[in-house]
Amino acid sequence: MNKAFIASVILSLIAILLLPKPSLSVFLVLLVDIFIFSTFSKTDDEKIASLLALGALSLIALALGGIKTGIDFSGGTRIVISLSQPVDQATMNEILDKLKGRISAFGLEQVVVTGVGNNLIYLDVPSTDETFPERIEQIISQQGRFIAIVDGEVVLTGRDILPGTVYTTFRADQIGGADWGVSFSITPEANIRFLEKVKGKANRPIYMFLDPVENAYIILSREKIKAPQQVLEVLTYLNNTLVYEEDLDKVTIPENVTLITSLEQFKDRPNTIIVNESELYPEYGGDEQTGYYIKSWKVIGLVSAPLVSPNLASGKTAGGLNYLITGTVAPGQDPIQEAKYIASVLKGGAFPVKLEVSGITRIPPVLGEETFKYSLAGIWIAVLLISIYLALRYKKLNIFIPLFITTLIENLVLLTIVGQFTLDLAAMAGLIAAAGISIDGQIIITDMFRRNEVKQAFEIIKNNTYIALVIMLPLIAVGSPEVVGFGITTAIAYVLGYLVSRNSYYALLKKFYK
Amino acid sequence: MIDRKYLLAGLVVLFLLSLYGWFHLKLGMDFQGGTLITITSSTPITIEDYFTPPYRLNAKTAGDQYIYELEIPNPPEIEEASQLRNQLIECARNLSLAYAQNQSTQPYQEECSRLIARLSELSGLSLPENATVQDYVDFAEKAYYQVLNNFRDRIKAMLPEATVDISTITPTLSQTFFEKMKQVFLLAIIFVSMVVLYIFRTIIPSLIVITGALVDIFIVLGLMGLLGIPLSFSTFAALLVILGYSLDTDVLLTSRYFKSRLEKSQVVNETMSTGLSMTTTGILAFIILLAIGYILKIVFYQEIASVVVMGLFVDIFTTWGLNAYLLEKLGEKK
Repeated sequence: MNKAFIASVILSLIAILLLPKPSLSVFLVLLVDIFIFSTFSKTDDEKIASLLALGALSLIALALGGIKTGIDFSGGTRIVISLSQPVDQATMNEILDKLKGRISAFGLEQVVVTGVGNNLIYLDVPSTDETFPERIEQIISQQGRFIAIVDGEVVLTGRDILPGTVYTTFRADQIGGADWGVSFSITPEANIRFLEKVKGKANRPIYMFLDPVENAYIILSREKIKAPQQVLEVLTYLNNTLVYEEDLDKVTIPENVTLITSLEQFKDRPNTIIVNESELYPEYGGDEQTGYYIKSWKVIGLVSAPLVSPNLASGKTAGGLNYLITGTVAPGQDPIQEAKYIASVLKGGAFPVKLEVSGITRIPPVLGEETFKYSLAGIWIAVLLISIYLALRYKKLNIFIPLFITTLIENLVLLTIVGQFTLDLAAMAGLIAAAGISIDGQIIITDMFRRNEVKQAFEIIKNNTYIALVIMLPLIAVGSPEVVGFGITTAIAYVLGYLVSRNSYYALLKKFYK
Repeated sequence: MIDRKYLLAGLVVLFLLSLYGWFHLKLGMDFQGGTLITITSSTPITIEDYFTPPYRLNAKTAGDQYIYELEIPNPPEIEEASQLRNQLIECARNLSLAYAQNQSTQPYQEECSRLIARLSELSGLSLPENATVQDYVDFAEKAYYQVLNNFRDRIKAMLPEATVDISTITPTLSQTFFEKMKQVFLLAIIFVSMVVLYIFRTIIPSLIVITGALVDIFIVLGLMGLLGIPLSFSTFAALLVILGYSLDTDVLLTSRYFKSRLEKSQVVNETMSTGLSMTTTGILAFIILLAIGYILKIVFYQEIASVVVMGLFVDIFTTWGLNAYLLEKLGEKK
């Protein structure tokens, strides 16, 4: 037997033993093996060996790692969210990031979030918790709470901002020497209130919060605070309490309040948010000589702190109800990103387009497991019955062995390959279609072998493979999770058949057909 | 061996039947929108006592639980609330811009008030006196979900002992799905035609092959209408399987017809025997899937399997009736 073939089998075996299972890596190993083994198998024995090797590798992968089943078989909930309009890839990624962030903030980490095409998002969660869909609805329909505070007084809230008026701008005639600008408009009533409240407060910071943390305790080290007075000020605005790390033994922190800290010793305390030290402290502007000031403090929801311009303090706006926030960025930072971020804060952290829960499917785990077992058993019984039927039809009982073995191993390999990412109802239907495809190929070979036209049989099988691939390609490209598994399974079935199993079958047939 | 004249006659009958069926072809919930109510209960439930037709029901058991899947059209108040929500958000936006650009706000104010009044009526929610424009937008969302939840609560209240899941596929989403699948189908046909042209390198035989497959799909769609099987994700996948299987036999016949040195009618008869075995095994495989579908009450399997079985059955007529006939006519001409 070809030594390179044996070497590649051993390499694949090592890869399958070492790699995590089920995983995309194992999927790739097996897929590549189909191509490699087919090029190595020249003699009949090698052709049979390549199918057996694929079968054995699959069996090992299955025994060690099992397969990944979708919610159809393992139970769970799938939620389809549709966007109000199609978006480009960058916007889709932004929405997915935001959604993932909000979902994990709700403590729902095991949710798998996938963007499909340019206007759908699928959420799969391996839980049938009844409140899950409602929580997701809440997450996507809810706006963040925006407030702006000057000298301890709330001067603006999200309710005051006119929807649809928030824009980023980079025009020099609008933003002057700054790097970016965000313009927005507020209601006439809010305008009067706002101008009154910022009167005479030139160069005072406007602390802008999104979903601010209130009534919490935060533990900071006295040494690491650069602008102590401002830190205290900002915390007291929202009734937060500062505890110095150095004084921990002297202070008792009430049990039922939220605690924000970087100290691991609190990790078992309920209501505690543990963050890295780098995120715990504010970001400062200024320097040692001119003095530091707080630029942002994400952990308590403080997103930005622009200053009240002298014009504004004397009662002049950017025009009517319109306002403009401008800012600079440090070298290397992207002003566009910064402006977009501030704009999204003013919109209450809203998604760039409207999201809507438009489909919910829930599968109880008991039902899922049963479906899986019976489906697989059904397919293999089908293969058995069809092989018997054909053996009878050809009036050659020993033809049963190559037919049954080839189709069964092929199906096992397919199950393992597809099971490395997600096996769902659609993929399972693909497995039965694959059994049919496999047997059809075997029939063509057998019939034409009996008529001495085997060469033409392989020609037809090759053509059928091309046809099937181009039929399934658009289905796979669109990627709708309801049917994509079907497309992938059938496509791989044709390739596996054409490259490996039909050749093995023919080699076996020659041995058994007497 | 079957006389191929009968196959051609059978095909005509099937074609006429399917023409009638086309008028009754329905879109499933995936492509038309609707509400899926899943009721899980420890005791059996008589669905007719709670719901009035039209609906589609699939009842099954899992462990000691009874599960009922019920598809109903979306209730009109949800459709209306969904529209009102979109209109109100649009109106609030216009109102904002009117404010920001210092134009007259009155017409928008009036329109928004009208929309809010109707949404309040539907949802039972109201807006506070000093509401801002941003509050309008929030209200639009809240009121819509309230209408949805009211509907869900009403159904849940009817069946207090059971777990009730309600999933709504909105008209927008179903339209997206339908558009996508139409695209997939069109692309598949175009690509496949190109490959068939590449295989045979001549136009007429390629056309014959593709016609066979398309007639097959046309008839199956009609039969689906006759049997009340809706076009959904599962049946759509089935149509692609039929396209593949049907082309397999068509390519087999056409390749052998032109390449074999035997007498033409003998070639057709020989190939037909191979093709019929292929189709029979395909039918057998999918009948088993159909059986699993019925035993486990999985609609996805039932629909996909029944449509493929129909398609394979029709394929016997299109390939060995129509295609063989057209090839022979072509042969005579030459």
